[in-house]
Amino acid sequence: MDVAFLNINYLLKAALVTLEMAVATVVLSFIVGTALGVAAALSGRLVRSVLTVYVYVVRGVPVLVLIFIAYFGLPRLGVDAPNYVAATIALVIYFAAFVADIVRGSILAVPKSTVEAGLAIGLRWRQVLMQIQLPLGMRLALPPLVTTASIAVKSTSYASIVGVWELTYASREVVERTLAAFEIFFTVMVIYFCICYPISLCATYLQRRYAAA
Amino acid sequence: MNKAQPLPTSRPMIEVRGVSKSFGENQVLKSISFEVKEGEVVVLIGPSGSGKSTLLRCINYLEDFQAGEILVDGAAVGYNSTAGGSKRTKQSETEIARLRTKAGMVFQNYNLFPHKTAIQNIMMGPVLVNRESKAEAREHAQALLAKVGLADKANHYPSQLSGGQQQRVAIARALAMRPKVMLFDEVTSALDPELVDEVLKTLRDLSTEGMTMIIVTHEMQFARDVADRLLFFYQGSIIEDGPPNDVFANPRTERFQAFVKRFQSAAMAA
Amino acid sequence: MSWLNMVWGWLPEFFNGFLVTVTLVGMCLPVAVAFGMGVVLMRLSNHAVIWAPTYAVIEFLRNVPTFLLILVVYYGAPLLGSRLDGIYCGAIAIAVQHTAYLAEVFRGGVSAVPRTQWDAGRAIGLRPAGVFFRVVLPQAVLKVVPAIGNQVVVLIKDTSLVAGIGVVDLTLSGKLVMERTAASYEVFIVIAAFYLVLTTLASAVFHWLEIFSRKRN
Repeated sequence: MDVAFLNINYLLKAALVTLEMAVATVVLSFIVGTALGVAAALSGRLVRSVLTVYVYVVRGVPVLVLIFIAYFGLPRLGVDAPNYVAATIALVIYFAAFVADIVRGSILAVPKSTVEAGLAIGLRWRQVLMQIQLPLGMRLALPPLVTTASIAVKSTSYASIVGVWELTYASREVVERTLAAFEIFFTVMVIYFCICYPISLCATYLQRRYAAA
Repeated sequence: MNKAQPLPTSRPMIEVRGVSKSFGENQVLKSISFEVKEGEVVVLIGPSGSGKSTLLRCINYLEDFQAGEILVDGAAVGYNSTAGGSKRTKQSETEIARLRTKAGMVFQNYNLFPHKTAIQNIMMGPVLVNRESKAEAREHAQALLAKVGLADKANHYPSQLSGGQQQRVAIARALAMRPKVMLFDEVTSALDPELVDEVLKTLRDLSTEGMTMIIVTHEMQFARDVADRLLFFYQGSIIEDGPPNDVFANPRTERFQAFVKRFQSAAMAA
Repeated sequence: MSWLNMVWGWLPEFFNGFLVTVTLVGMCLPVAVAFGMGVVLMRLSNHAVIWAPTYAVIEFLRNVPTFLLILVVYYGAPLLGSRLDGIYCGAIAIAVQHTAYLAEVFRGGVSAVPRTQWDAGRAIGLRPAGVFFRVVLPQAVLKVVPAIGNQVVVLIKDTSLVAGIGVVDLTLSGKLVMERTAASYEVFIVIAAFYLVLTTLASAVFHWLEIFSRKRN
């Protein structure tokens, strides 16, 4: 395990890059996804159908393929962006779909009876939306959203395949140099675990508190 | 029973004229007509599925109805008829929302907003709809909580309250809008037996204060005690209508006789 | 349309890649399901000696990226003296991780069966093992079919990661075609379509399975 300790600084620096990418992905995809999800919950069949198609496509295609499309496609469209930008764009497009689907479902899952109670005291639909459906809907959405965040963190490792220097890429470099595959990869897995496991514990806690009865 | 006597007004508080409603092929309300005077307590009873809850929900337009008119305090609910009566145009969302403030509704499952405290639940209507200031609304809400016997629970969340307490908060929430009539939809059916009495007491108090009330309930004894008039619903029509003592002593229809017998034997068994 | 001809020309290579992908799924899925069922039994054991390490391993595997597991096998296998082809490295890693995922899915299904069913089973005289296999398990399976369907879709998509170690699956065949011809990202749109067909088929199968098992109950 000495190999691991010798290289730990290098790996931790790479872990930081992973974290940056993960945070960027989560924040952007959640903003876009929430906006889309709320819009879809409120709108008519057209917007809802568009969202359904978008979610269906994203669900059925591997993240890596989306990353390749972005990586090779952006230069073609005239955009000269570094590889991590392309990868992040692909990840955001991927996860925004899941976030939108979760948000839309959660808003609609707020019990009709609670909505009726709001109407009965004279609230108008816009007030019902802002005061009842959105707050309660987002509570319901929290557990699956946190799980999605955890998945997003793990999927940053796929960016290494298009050459983005993050934790997985760095670990490969070190292993190829030192041949100490098990020690290095074990250390890296522990690092990923330390990031993702607390997130999944959060999700379990939130599930107990806020999930639909 | 001692009640505050309201000033006689010529116009009934609630008028239901020829209201019919179907869910698809199933007609649940068959040309229902009745009136409720100001200060009257009318109790709707009848077997499950007879239409009584549906009618209640039509009065504050939580359910649409295909034919007929409903007037609350002289104002039409849901549809505006042109003079002559045959043409109805659906009201706007604003009109409907405004009319709902005249009728307070309390639900079987309380339906409190889980993310707000008891006092916040009560304040929501006055602040958001009547544009009262938070301070005014809070004072009023505190008074209402005291009225239903829950002054110390103001900052509790619904999850921290028992069923009976939640239901009383729900009653206070409906009262906060100063409605002209209160609609109660089986408000004790979801409660444990020991919690039922506290809610019924609140209803009794309201009735002695002269509130116009329409109550749907299975609690027969309570119905007999509190009602000025009993309406028996059966398969979408009203087949008995009168003061409880009259109706129970002289049932006009066999169906109601059977219903009464079942109630009396159940009461004996209890 | 020459665009269509171009795509037509790519198809043979894609098909080979497609076969590799399907082979991977065919190897990993049954293994993950079978071992997943075994692992969940360990996870549900009443003996801490058994369920505690099982829980630890499952949680560990669920919280690390799939690609990293593939790399572990890929770089680690030679150190252990074996010369595994890339495809088998990928297969082992994916099978192991999905065993953990499926074990959790199964566990969710079992815990969703109401406690009352256990009591009913004991009440008619069955011993705990009997209750489990004859009363609880059939009901758990029913509840779990849609979730398994989701996991299968995830597995199909995870196979694309072997492209990162040079295995010519559907995804990597796209990259090779792209480098060989003048085309660019359009290739991957076609690849995406292939995957969509595959995942739609899998979802449809499980949808049908769900309806079928509902009817049988």
